[in-house]
Amino acid sequence: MNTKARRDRRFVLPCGSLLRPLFWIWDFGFWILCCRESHIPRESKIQNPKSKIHLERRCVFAPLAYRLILVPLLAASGAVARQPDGTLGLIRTPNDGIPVMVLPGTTFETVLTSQAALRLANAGGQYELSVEWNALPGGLANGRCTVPPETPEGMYAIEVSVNGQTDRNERAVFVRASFPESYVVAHLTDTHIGAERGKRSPSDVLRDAINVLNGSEAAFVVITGDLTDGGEIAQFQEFLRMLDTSTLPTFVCPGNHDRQGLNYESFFGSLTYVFWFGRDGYLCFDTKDFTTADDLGPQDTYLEIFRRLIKPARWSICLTHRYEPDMGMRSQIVLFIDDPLDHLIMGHWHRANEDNEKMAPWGATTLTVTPATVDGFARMFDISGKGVKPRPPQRIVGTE
Amino acid sequence: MGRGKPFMTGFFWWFSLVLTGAGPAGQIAYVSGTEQEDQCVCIVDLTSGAVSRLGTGTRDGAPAWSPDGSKLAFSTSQPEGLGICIGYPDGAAPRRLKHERKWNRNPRWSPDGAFLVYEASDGQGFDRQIVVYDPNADTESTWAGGRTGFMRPVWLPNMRIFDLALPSEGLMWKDAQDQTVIDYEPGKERLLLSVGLTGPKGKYSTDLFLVTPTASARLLAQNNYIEWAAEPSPDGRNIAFESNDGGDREVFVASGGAVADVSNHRAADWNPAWSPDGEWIAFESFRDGRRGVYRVHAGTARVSPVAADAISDNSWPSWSPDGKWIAFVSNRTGHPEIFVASPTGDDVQQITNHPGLDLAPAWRPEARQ
Repeated sequence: MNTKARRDRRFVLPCGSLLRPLFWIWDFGFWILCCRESHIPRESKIQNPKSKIHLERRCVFAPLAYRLILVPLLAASGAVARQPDGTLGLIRTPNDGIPVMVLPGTTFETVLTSQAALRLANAGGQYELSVEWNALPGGLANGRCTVPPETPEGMYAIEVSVNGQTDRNERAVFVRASFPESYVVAHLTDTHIGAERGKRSPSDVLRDAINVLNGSEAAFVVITGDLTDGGEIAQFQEFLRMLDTSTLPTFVCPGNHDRQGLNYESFFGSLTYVFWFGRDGYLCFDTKDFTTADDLGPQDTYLEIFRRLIKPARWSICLTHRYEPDMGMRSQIVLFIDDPLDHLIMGHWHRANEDNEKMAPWGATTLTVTPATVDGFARMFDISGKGVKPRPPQRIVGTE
Repeated sequence: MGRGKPFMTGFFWWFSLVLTGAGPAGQIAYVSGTEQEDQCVCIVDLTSGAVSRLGTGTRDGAPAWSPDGSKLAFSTSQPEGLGICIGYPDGAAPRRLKHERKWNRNPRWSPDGAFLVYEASDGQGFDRQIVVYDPNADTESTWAGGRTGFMRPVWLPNMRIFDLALPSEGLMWKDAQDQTVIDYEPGKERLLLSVGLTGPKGKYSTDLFLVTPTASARLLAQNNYIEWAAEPSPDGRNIAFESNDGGDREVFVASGGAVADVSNHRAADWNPAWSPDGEWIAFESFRDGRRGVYRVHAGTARVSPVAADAISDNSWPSWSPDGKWIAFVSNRTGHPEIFVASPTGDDVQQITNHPGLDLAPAWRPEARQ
């Protein structure tokens, strides 16, 4: 576990400020207990059973103590933003990994574990949302929220208060004045938080990369998987801590390294989702295990429904961690054959794609692979009426 | 779900069974897990409600019953890639096959249960080959003369497929170069149907192929459409498959030299599954907005819903051996569970109930129940 793993900034004031000393105490205990164990690369843990057992024991103890001591305190104080361990709470989406970009007076979709009054909040004020509710399977509630027309442009948390408790997803809603026809998208991938590689930690590299992008012309950032090196809770917590330094909307999808139980889902909710920027539709899907992510699982359903949803888009753009022709055929039929997407953006290779690798093998979808951000790279895409034009990848952060 | 132990899935569905006095019987194999890594082949007994774990619990894939219902084949993790495992529901330990290739998937039993076919590759693009396993000799052999690019092979139940388009010279099937590729010898033949990749990279297409140990030949005229999910009817006279011929994905039936679109709808129609009497085809369609299970009469192309509604997704139809029920997956409770319904969709019963993924139902053949 990492000493910086918890997300105290997510707790709603004033309770957050009162509880902050508790987090400091907790941090110190965490640091004593856990040292740098969580940075053991996944491969070495597998090869060294002792270190794995050692790590697991500490990983079990720390969250347990965390829940036993701090969660009751927080619950009693009436302040719950996400869950205390950073996983999603009452509000599933939008969140800081799957935000929405919306105009004042228009609508966006939200998913909650139960119906509740919703509002947007930032330092400038609070704006109550009018919501039309629909039931989803499993007791979830789908709300179609209308943003008040007077809502100023800016970044908002989405909040809900139920039975004296507040749930709050930071950086979840970005109210824009307009959606330009031409814009720039920043692509990060393979951030591998928790890996031990290079002279700088992946966390520092990601923080600096986000800082560079904060000053860029990008309208939003996509981060296509391998967010973490081992899919551990502490690594996701650390990833979120870095992610929340972004002033831009950040859209994530899972990678093969993010697999460990249901941790990814706990932190971001959906594995497969769709969003819009103006007239352009973006479909994010899961290839964290490309060999079995298709044909058996439920993702095919969402791929077909979402593909049809963004069919009217000016450009249909797919974001995923990894695409291999060896993956299941059903998703390839949906995405690249029957109604081919215009462009596929991905990572995983830790290198850029060569000239002979610029198309999906079915022939209609162009493909761009960006080198790993953990190695300092990012890539910008110019999107306009002329198409989706990738710029050459750039090393925007030093790793030495 | 209790891992490693038989358990009850709750009594609500068999309570309703008691109330109605007539319900589905037999056993259904399916895949259960919390996520892909721990997916395990399980069997639920529809009479007692008991569930037993048969698989390895390490990325088990969709199970395929042998024709006599005595064993199941499924893919599962091997040290590198996926291997085929044979499970025995009557108690014997599962048997993992030894493979030459890393990725081995989609097993299907031959009509007499003597052989197992699956696709095998080293994970390099579409390098998939058809491999036939002989359980008695414990050997693998590569079919289609070793040609790559074959996917989802299925055994043909007999040679009646030749009624589709009679070979020009007696009982021989020739390829485009007029080479004899299938020499039909009654009594000794074994024949596979497979989807095969055609065309150069960047312009890939697929066609349906007949496959022997040494050769392969197109079943239908070459085209630029993408065929997938081919299934021969139980009597071997018809083949259902899906294709994007016409602009969107439809279920077609090849029969007696003709090919007909039987599902005809602008929404996608997928995954045909023949009823045991060969009269009906269950399939999946998005025609009502969500993914639903429907059935179509193969002769009249009359479509009716089996399990389709506005807010949940229903998929993976599997007919009971008597044709009176269809098992399917539905997420109407919030996560995928196994349900059964009458073919008219009137009587729907939930079979499994656990907070994870229950997928890929396969009804056990009657012979050994």
